[in-house]
Amino acid sequence: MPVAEPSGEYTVTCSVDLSPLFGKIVSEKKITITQPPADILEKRLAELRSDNEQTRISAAHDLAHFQKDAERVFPALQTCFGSADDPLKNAAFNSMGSYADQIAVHFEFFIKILGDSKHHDSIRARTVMYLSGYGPIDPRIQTALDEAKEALKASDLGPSLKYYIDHYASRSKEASD
Amino acid sequence: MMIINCAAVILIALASPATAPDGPPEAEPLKPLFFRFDAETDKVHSLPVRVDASTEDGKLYDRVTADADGDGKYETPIKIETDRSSSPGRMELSFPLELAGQEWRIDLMGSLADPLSRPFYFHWTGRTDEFYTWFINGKVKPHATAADAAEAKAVRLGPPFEYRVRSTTRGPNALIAVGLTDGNGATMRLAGGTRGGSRDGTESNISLTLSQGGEKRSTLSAEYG
Repeated sequence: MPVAEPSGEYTVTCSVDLSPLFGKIVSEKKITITQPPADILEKRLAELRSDNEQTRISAAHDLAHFQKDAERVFPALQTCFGSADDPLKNAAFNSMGSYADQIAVHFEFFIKILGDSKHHDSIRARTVMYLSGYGPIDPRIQTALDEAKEALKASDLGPSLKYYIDHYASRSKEASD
Repeated sequence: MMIINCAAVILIALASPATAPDGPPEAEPLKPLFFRFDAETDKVHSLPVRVDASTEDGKLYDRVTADADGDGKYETPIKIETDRSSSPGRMELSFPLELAGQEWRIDLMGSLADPLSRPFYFHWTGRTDEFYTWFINGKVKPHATAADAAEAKAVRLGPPFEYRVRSTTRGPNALIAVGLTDGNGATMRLAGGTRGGSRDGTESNISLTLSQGGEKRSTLSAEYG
């Protein structure tokens, strides 16, 4: 769980009541809390443009945790799709999933991904999942989903991924009906 | 003489019919597996348990018996409540145990391929009419004989417990993770009340109090998951 206390040494008293079976179990532990530096978001955004591939990928992963700054983070993650760097795209795309409740406004970006065959099938399939939650919001999403579903059927996807495409796309359609 | 012998060997080999199997080889009958469970009240109580196949072909572990009186004979039948073995080559059995005056439930999961070579996973649940606790993902090594199981570390049901606390940073947050573990390394997953034998929705969560220099700073309640 997140903790807002400043960095430093703390005593944690843990307690849980397992009565009547095992009674109340209480214990004290010492821990050190280290708060991230205040400018960590700036660092991560800068690291997305690093020359080092692993640094870029780590930054893309870590940018899953800045929901309050979605308006800055999301466009930065989108820039990763201009690269031919598949591990980076994959990391960025995973992080985009953490912004699922905020991506409706970016649906055009996802529709573009769906329609672009240069992106890996697994990314396009997950795009279906992301978008399906927003089908009822805009009829263009449902249209794109229907088209993508047909296009992706011919792709060499694993059975579980095909299942998810069918499941999510049809569920979205039911919601919009 | 030597040349004749070699020729004879070659001829015999050529004359022997090919021994290609008609189908998959018959699996060896499953051998009994032995475990031991301990629980402590005023003293440590121990229950040896055998899991084996009830049929001669021995393809499924479908019988659990205990040596309740310690005479070396596994004569106390234990009813398997649920067999959730979901795929070939896997075993997933749930069964109750009475030990140290307490009712426990064991979920035992493992691979049937050479089961003595790798640990099984188990969950244990302790319960009364009003309360239950569920500890998950302990590991136990099955044994080939009762004597081996008697000498090895038993699965401990109930205490002693220990909190494991760690602090990490992720993204813009400092995080605290805490778990209550038992002596097997299994972690408390749920604890709560029961009504009529079923969970009643009340749960007992771990609470944390952070203090610094004797001064209380904040109180948190653990979230499972």
